[in-house]
Amino acid sequence: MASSGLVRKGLALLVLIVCLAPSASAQINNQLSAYTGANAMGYLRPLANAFGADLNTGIFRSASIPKMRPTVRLEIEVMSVLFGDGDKTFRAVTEQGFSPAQRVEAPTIVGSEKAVLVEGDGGTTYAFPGGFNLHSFALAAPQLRIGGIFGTEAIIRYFSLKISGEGKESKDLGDIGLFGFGLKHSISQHLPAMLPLDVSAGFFWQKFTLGKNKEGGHLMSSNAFSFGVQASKKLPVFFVPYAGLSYDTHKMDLAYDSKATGTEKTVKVDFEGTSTMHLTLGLMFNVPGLNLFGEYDIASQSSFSFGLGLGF
Amino acid sequence: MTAITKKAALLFLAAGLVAGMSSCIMEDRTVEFVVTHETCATFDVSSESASFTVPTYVFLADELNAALSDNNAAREDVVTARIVSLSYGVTEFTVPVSLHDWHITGSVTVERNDISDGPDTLLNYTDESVMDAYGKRIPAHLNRAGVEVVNRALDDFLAGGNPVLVFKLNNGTVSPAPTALDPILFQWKPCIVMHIVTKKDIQVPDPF
Repeated sequence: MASSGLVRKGLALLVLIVCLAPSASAQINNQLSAYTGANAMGYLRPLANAFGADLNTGIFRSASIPKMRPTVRLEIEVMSVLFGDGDKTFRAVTEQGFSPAQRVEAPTIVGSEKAVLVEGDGGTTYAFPGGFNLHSFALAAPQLRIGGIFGTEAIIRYFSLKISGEGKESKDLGDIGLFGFGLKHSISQHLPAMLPLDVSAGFFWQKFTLGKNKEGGHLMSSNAFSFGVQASKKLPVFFVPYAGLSYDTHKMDLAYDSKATGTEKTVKVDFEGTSTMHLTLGLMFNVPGLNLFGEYDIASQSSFSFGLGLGF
Repeated sequence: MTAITKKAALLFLAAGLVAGMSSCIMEDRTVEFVVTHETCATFDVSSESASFTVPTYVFLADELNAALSDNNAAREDVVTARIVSLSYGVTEFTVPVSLHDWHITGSVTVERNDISDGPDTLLNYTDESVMDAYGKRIPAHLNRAGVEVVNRALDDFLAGGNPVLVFKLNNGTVSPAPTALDPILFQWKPCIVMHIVTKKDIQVPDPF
C-alpha cells in the first residue's frame, strides 16, 4: 500500500513538473525581485543544495551489465530531499538604501510563509519576503538506459518543455529542460569469475534549466556531475541489493529581474560549486520486463529516490 | 464502443487519475510576497532668485494599483506597505554661461492633496552641489514626520482610499545667487522606494 502510494506520488510529480513550471518560474522570480545578490543566495541556498542532491541521485543502481546482450529500459524516477530546521532561515541583510543596515534571521525559500519586517531610521521599514514552507523538494525524471554492448551501458535523461503563464503572465516564460548523459562499464567482466559481486564504474553529467529573464537568459541553470563505482548482488528471489560510492559536483546560477534598489535590472547570482562524497544504499526488485527500486543516498545533503523501469 | 468514445473515456480516466494523484502532493500555502515600488517626484527648477518653491503631485493609489497589477496582486491582498528609503539626484542640468556650479540648501515637504495632512518635512538638504548630484542617486536621511505622512497615505490606500501626495521643493539659499542673466536651471528627482507586502494563496508541491 505504501509503495503504491509512492509510485502514485512519483507519477503525479512528473505531471506536476509540467503543470507547475510556469507558476514556479514566475513565483521564484517574484520572491527574488526584492533581493540583490547576497540575500538571493541565502534565500535560495536550500533549493540549490536540494537540486544538486536530487540530480545526482538515482543514477546508477545495479552493477550487472551483460557483456554482449543489448538491453533497453525506460524508467521514471523520483528524487527527493527532506529539509531540516537549519534550512528554514538565513542571515539576511537589508539592501542598499535602507538605513541603518541590519542583519536578521529571514525565511529561506523553504522557510515560513510570513514576511519579516525591520524598522529603520525615520519611520522606514524593510520587508524580507516569506518562503514556501516546504518540507521536501522532489524532482521526477524520465530516464532511458541502453546497455549490454561490450559490458557498457548508456544512461540518458531528457525532458524539455516551453512554458507560458496565464493572465498577465501569458508571455513566454522560457522553458524547463533537463538533459543528462552518462556511461557505466562493467568492471567485474574483467575480473576473475569467483568475485561474488557485480562491480561497475561510471559517470553522469546533467544540465537543468528553468524559466527566462528579461535579458533572454535562463532564470535558473544547474549543472551536476557524478562519477564513482557501484556493486550489486543478484539474489535468487528477484531482489538486487546495491551500493555505490561516488564523487558529486553541482553548480547553480541564477539570473533574475530585481527591483530591490528601485529600478529594475537583471541580477546574476553564481552559487559556489559544491562537491561531496556520496554513498548509495538501495534495493531493486527485478522481474523480466519490470523493475522497481528504492534507495537512500548519504551525502552532504542526504536524499532518497524510488521509481520503476519497463523494458528488457 | 467507437474509437472516439474509447479515446474520450481514456481521456477522462487520465484526467481523473492526474487530479487524484496531484491532490496527494499539493499543499496550500498563503505566502507573503514583497513588491518593491519606486515613486519619483520630478521638480523642474527655473528661477532667477534663491528662494523658490516647486510642487509636484503623485497619485499614489494609481501608482500602487499599477504596481500590484504588474505583480498579479490587488489592493485586497496587501498586508502592509511602508517607505524603505529615499534617494535623490539631478537628472537635467543646464550649465551656466560662466560654467559655475550651484550650491543649494532647502527641504522637501510632503502633504496630502485629498485630505488635510501635512505639510511635513521629508528631507533637508544642506550645501548640495547641483553639479555633483547630476546623474547620481544620493541616499537621503529621512525625517520621521514626513515619512509618517506617506505611511498614513499608504494606510489609507489599504483602507480603500485614493491618496494624492504633494511634494514641494522649498529652496532656501543658492550660492552664487541666481539673477535674470544667470538663472538657475535644473531638474531634481527624489525617488521613494516602498515595500508592499502582499499575501497570495498558492499551491506548492510538497510530496513528503
